[in-house]
Amino acid sequence: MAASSRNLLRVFAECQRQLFIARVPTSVCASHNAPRHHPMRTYAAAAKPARKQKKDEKVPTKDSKEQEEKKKLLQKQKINDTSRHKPYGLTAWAPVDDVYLVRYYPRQVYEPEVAVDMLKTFQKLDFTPEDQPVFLDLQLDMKLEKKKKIDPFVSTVHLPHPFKKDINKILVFTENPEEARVATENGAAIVGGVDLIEKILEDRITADFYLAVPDMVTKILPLKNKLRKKYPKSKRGTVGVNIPEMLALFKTGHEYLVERDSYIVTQTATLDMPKEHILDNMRTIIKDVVAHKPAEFGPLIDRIIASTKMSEGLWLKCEAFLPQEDVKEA
Amino acid sequence: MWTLVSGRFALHNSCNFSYVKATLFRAQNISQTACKNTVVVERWWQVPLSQEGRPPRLYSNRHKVYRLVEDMKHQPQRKMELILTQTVPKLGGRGDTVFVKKSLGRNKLLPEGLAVYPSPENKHIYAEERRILCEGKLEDRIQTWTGKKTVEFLKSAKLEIGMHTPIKDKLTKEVVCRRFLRMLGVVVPLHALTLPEEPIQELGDYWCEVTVNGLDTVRVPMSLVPFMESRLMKLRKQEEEQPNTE
Repeated sequence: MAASSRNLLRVFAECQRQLFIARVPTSVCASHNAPRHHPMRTYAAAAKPARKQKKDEKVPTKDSKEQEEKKKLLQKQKINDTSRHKPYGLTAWAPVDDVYLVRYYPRQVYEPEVAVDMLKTFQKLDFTPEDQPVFLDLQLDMKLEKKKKIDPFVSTVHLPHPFKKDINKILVFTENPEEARVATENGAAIVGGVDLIEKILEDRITADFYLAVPDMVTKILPLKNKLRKKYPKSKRGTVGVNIPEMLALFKTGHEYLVERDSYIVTQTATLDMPKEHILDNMRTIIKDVVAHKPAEFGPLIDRIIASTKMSEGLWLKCEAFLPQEDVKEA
Repeated sequence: MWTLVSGRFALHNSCNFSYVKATLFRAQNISQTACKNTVVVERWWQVPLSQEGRPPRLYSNRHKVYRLVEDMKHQPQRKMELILTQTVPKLGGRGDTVFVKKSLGRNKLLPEGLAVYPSPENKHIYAEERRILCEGKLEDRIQTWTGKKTVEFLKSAKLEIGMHTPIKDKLTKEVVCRRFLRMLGVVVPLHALTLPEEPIQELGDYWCEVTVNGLDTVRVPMSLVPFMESRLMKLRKQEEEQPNTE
């Protein structure tokens, strides 16, 4: 009896603290206790809320919780399937009948040559245009060691069989008149110095690529915010002394970037190009991508999907693109 | 008598009770229940080598002294391999080799006849059945449970094919098979599909037949509609949905 009344008191005190109002809690007090009247006391507001704020800071907000949950759902937990008699959630490792539903069996992974052939037949059977672009979708594993990641990179590749008909527009920053002449000879669209800066800031001139000589880097600083990703950087290869070489790369080069941390989606070719051209282009791009991660930390590419604009994606075997050529050629 | 091998061996109260009974010389109480667990023991003292071809001779008391190596009941329980004879939910259909817990296999599947041990003879029987399904005569084939499910699915399936208007010979089997794959997610090989005998010339509704495993045939309604690009189709769908919600 005494214990229960003590507990009730404790409960009542808690209620009071939270509500800052003294109440006669008819529901809390049991019937056999006399109703307790407590004097009206307004508590100092600063005392408890300070503690509460700390608690709130420690406990993550609702939005970030939702985001974390979404992330976890997206990173599917990889269940080790190999020892089971059938993969988790599916009917069997391989279909037994001739007519079957694709979603009950594990996803089929194709050789690159087979996949390109399939894409071409799909184009004919679906009555879609012949010159549609062929895309390559790569998922990358950006982890390096413990808690280190590769930064999302942007790089330009020189494709063996370019699909773009027109040359990229290039703007070169130089003060030297000789270098300017060399640049215009080699195909730069616009060449200039400090005077170009104003024109770019006013948006009168735009270009696909911006190259610069090392001397000019300090002078171009006001354009950094304007050009952002395209700003000349020695890491990307847009700052250098050898102008003809840089121009040759960027004139016919194909640029790709890493979106959303670990995905690359680029156009590799068009479907009306012969099969070998498409495969060569794919291989060049993948070689360039793989060069961004040192070999000790495992393969960079998790999965490769080839697709056209109007067809579904076909998963490709990563082993076919690895530098161990004997496996591929066999 | 027990056949003992020198060195490590497992003490099994093993399955051949008839053999044991036949060779019982002394009155021994041997358990009639099946072996519950296995204990791996090792001889403490080395047994001297015997002549080539002859089993080792055990004569001394010391040859009966054993040392416990491990008790298998502390190991994680391994799964047993069985071949199913009927469709079992969550495991598979007839002829599938599955890994199940020993309790499930011994108390449910084997007593009820839902599965058999994968002995070489049994494996041969079911491999033959699978071969007949692919290559053998139609009378010998048995429909698989996955095939039955596919048939059920196809019975409620509909196909829509967008065609350009002068349809001379464009509606081939390959086009229809591709449509099956794209729209419904069903892989239909060319030999399993039958189109109507007269070549189709106009847009409209027709039938096509799909034969699963050569046994069951399903008629799937196929409607030829004027060809529309996917972009336009998406716009049209959005327009249809908007008045519905309004």
